[in-house]
Amino acid sequence: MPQMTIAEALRQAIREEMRRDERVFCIGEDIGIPGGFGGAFTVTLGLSDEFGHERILDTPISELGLTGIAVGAAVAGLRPIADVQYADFLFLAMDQLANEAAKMTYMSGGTVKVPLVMRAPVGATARGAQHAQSLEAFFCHIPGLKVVAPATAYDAKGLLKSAVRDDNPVIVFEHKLLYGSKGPRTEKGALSPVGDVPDEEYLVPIGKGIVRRACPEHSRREGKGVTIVGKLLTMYRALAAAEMLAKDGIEAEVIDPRTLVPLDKELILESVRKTGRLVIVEEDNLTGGWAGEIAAIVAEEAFFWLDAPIKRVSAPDVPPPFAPVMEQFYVPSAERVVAAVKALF
Amino acid sequence: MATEVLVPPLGQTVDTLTLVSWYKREGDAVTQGEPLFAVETDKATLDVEAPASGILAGLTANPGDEVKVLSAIAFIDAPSDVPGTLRSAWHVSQRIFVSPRARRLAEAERIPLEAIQPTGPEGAIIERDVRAYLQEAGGRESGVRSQESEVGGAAPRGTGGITPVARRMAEEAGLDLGSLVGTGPRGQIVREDVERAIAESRRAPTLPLPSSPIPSVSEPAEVIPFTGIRALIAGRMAASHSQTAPVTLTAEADATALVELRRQLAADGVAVSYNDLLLYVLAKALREHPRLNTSLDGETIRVWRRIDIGLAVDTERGLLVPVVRDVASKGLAQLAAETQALIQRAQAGRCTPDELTGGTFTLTNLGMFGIDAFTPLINLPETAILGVGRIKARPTVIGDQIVARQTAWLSLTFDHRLVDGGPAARFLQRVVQLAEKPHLLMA
Repeated sequence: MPQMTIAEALRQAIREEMRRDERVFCIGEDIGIPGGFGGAFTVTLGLSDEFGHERILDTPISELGLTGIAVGAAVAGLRPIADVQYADFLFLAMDQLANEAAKMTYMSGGTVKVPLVMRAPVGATARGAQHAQSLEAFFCHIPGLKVVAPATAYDAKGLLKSAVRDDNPVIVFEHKLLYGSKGPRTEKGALSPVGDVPDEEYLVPIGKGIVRRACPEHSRREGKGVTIVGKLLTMYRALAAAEMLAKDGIEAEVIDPRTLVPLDKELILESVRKTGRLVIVEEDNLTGGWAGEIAAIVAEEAFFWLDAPIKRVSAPDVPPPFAPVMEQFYVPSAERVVAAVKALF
Repeated sequence: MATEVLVPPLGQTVDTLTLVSWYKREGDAVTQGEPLFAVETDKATLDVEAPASGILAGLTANPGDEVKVLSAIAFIDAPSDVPGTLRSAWHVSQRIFVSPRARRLAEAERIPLEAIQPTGPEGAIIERDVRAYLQEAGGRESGVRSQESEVGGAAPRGTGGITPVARRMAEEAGLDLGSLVGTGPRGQIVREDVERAIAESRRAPTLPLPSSPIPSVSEPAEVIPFTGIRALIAGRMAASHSQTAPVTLTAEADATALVELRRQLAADGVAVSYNDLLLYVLAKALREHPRLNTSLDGETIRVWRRIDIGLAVDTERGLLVPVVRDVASKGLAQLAAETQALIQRAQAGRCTPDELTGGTFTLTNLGMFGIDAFTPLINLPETAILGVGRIKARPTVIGDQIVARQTAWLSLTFDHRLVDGGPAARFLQRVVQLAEKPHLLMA
């Protein structure tokens, strides 16, 4: 089976969907210009050679404009894959996403569909406060949007293909340190996970999470289990923490929700019912964050299974710092996850 | 070290009690063994002694509250603990902190929390501590079993409840929350359930709404909670009224000889009440008519060999029915001594639950209030109850003469489902005969 980076898997997903359905097109900034990178992180590299500039559509630097075009095209029957170079710029397109895309189906009584895909890279990568934020929580809060966050190459391809085929607007958050972008777009400190990606057709359903690492039965019976929920980069931090914890006899069950809206909450609740402890790791800052939502769900629906307080490991409530040393402190590390887990025992 | 003050288990069927009063206030010094608080079951009031000496702290229940058996309602801090306590915030309040998961397990295994050694973060009891206790107590297997049942089991208790809007609507409509059936998520009572209950209560023509739908202008003089003994009596009476097929037979008994017998007994130093004499009469009559000494248990009618007669006693707290055991085996003097003690305990609210259950027949006497005859309600699950009216000189025809005789009306209510009119009438006839001719009691 072919091994791919996430950037390659996304590219293959786009290629397959564009071949399958001529209504599918890409729109973004510098995604197809000759000699360009193929978008900010090489995902669309080379696609204009096959599909031409009418379907790999470059726009001026105006996120509001390109998003408005994409929403309009979606309403009119096309299936756009729009992207912004950095998720931070979604704020510029907020009116189109929050007021138009998310609400049109509801406001029209279901007669208007908005099959829009909006791709957005998140994560702090030494680019400063305006090119580093993790905005998932903002969009999880807007009813009418679906939100996915693939952390592996397999999921990246399968979820993007599902997003293209979904009749609702879907925001796809991708992490800069996970793309595996090559050449001049290689990110410092990137994890660049490479994984098996089948060449044949497959979809990863929106709304289904996955257990990345299971807590063995005997550990949970001995009260040595913990559930750690992480997405994108923090899922890998959770996995690293789990390996460190295992040396101390604590077995972590690591859950990757993959889709944030609609959330596969039963997967999380089921795990917490088994382990009795929950730590949520996210790169966004703490207050009003996604981790708080997960904590609230578990407190409401699995309170009597908890053996310890729920713990959130997040970035502090400050903008992402530019200085690399401070950024390292800012983004939750595996060590911080380990410390949070140990405080529960 | 703090000792938990636990609500004692009283009898096997008692799950909750009503806290009547605290004899000490928060911060008072208490001595082990002295009365600390009083609780009331549906049948009795009991003092509970302090489990340790020290300072009373952390009261979590107020008089009038329903408290669960074996729950902690306060703590007694050992004297050495009190000054200068400077531990983690969790300890300052002197409460035992326990994770929800550990509490579930401890409750399922019926382990008192204070018996568990906490090792969790900040001194809390967590699941492993409960399991360690179970293992030490030799309960390892049951611990493993409950773990398995937990994981695959149904949603935990305590997640039902009632939504705020449903609670408000129910309160405004004067509905008893306990009577509502929840159909919401996990059995939660939701608005629709209250609406349905309101609609049903309006449909039922014979039942007036518990509270007037028109707001009354004047305030009630008193608002009495329809809980505790009152609610229990209400439930039993309504059940008796609706579930039995009651028929009341009445007969006048010439009690002149009985009055004379009582006078003679008193003259010879044996003071007995009419109730005692009637118990004695009933014992003989019931022995001869065992179909009246029965109770209904689901699909079967149990005919009791022993005759245990409940005596209806009017108390400040409401109607209580303490039971005189094995009446047929006892002489009049013994019956008199026992009933007097029972009645005193009932009036002081100090009957134990066991003294208030298990009767096979009931005697109720309203003669002292000048009542002539009435239709008593059967004390479920018994089959019959005898109501006694006042003994009074009444004009009676004997031969051709009208003479004054001491007579009393006896009212027998029986459950026609369990016994027919003929046998019941024969029983009452025999009771009348024995009351009129008490010398037959020796025959």
